[in-house]
Amino acid sequence: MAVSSLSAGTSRRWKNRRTLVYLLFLLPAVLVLVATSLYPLLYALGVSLTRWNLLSLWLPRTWVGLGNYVKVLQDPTFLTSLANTFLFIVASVGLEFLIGFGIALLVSGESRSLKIIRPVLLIPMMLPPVVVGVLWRMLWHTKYGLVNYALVRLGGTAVPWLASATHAKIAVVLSDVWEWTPFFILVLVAALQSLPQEPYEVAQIDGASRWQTFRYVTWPLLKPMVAIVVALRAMDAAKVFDLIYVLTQGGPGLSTEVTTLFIYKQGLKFFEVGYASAGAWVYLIFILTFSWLLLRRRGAGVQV
Amino acid sequence: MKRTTIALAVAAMVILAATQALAAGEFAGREITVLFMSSGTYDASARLAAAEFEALTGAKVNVVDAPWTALHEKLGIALATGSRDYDVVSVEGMWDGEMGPYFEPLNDLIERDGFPYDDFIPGVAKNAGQAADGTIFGIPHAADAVAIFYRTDLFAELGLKPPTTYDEYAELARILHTSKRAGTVFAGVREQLLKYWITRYRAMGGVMLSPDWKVQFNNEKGVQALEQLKAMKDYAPAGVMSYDNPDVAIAFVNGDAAMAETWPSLTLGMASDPAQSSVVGKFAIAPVPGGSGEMSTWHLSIPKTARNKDVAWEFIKFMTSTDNQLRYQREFGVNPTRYSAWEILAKEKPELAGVPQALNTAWAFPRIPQWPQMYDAANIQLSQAMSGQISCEAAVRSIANTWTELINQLKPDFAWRGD
Repeated sequence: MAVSSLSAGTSRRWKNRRTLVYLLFLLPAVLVLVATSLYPLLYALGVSLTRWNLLSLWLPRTWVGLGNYVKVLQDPTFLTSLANTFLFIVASVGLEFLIGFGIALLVSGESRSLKIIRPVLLIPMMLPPVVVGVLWRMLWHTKYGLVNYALVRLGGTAVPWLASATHAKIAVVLSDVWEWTPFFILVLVAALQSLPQEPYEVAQIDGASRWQTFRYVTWPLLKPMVAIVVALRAMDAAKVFDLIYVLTQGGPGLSTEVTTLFIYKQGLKFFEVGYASAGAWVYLIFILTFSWLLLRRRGAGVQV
Repeated sequence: MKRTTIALAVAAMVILAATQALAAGEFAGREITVLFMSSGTYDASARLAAAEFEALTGAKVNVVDAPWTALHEKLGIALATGSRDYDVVSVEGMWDGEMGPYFEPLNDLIERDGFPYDDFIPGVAKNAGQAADGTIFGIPHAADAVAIFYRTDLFAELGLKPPTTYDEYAELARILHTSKRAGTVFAGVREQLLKYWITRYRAMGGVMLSPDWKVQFNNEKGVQALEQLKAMKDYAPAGVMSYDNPDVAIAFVNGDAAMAETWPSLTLGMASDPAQSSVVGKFAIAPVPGGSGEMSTWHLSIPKTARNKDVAWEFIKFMTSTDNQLRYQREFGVNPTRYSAWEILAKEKPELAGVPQALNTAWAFPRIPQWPQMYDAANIQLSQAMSGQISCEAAVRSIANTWTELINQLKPDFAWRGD
């Protein structure tokens, strides 16, 4: 650690000055955070206690206390959207992790061809979600989409992907998996490449099989990393919006209606910002609970 | 040397001034921004109008477009936040209830310039840009009524005639349905379902709302109409529940369906274009069974916060002139909204002769601020019923309850037409 003039000396005067300098450096970042995160959050909390239509200003603007919260927690559309979001997160992150991990194990080597393949695998992640949505909307088209074309050519039957309640869910999850599996590949390859070599040498000497090596050396070493990357991706999946907006707009029926879409519709389509803010706060608590549960179970790392 | 320099400078200034004067149109140097719906038709007509208006007056016109759902949101946000970005906006009549008060009243301008507002089809004008108290805040520039497209060649082959009732329509769809080609096609995506249900309900003699705004469809007829619509899925392409208006047009012009229940203005252009359509000359348009389809109207309005209201008004007058309305019909299939345009058009294209009457009698949804929520809530229930997630009775009942609740939030102070 570099020794700066500020850390020289241990007298109280020096300590206070150091703290002041640290605070000063932190201040801009804190101010930005307060302005862009904390203030809007609290403002939305305030708005959520009123009934307020932003466009039709002649509709009465009234104080409703917790009325919006009571209403939203009984709203069947909102509750369905929460269930859909939860299912979406579990299905897409689960699949992305399994497939991503598998691919990472395969491509984490050092050969030249792998060094070329790895960046290519990352391309889907670099596309904007809207582009992914438009692309997959064309691919999932029942009559003219490539997916059904391939299915039929391979001897199957065309599937009404975005037109049926169950298939739309599958189509949406698969589109997300295509886009974000590279994220897992990226992080897990880096993690795998940074693992220490000694445990592997020890395992080799002890005569461990490939599966035993994975189960008792690789996996315990990776677990903390995996937990964090899964939690990160899960929190991101909870924010899914562009993909669903472009692919299905929440339909057919409510089969792909996610909470972000619900909040957006209430707030920016119907301009009922009070109700939308209440929904947003309920959703925030939902995500916080979910993330807390995920990170709680990540387990301690293994000291080797 | 000094005198030569001064002389050259003066000459340069004179030449510059002269070229400026020669280039000046009435609004040279002015710039306006106009907002239209992306559809290949309305926005295309706007771009054509923009180019010609600029050549005529020197004002630069920026055309911004957005698809229907996004347009409502974009416009709503712009109006709610008092944005000064747009000078002319194309507004769907359906949104008048929530957006009307944000637009500049045009009554005085119409009188000042002697604008022939009476030339506009009354049935259309009433539902596009007119408030209940007579304030005019928009000039209709496009109108359309849902109609039935059908393949004249297939009908001739099988000796069939266009349907006069929805039962006949269902029968035709059944007869024409083969493994290679669907009997009919419609926009089954959630955002488009309501009109199909209400049209069938009205064709049975049903009334949507009473004059004092009470829901009238929570009965057997309402449920029957929904069952009738649901049955059409069997005779439509497999992916019909994900089809939006463009998909319907594509399906019809590719010969994937023998009939189509959709908007002529969004389909006619594609269907008549040999480069895109395989049914050129092999189709005709019939009115929906029961007489009148849902009307979609678009009017040009000036937000009260616009920066260039004078240029905006001139643009509106220009774009809605009889000649230009005819132009956009010929180039893009956009229906004119003026009788003077239709007089000429009916002679040119006799197959469209029945359209002005259809526009004058078409029905429109209520123009009240709660409408977008009523529309969305109804569509969710209809979509769930159509995909078998809930029963038709449950859907109709739920729509009735939601509409009653929403209407009671702010009872309109004018009576409903009663249909």
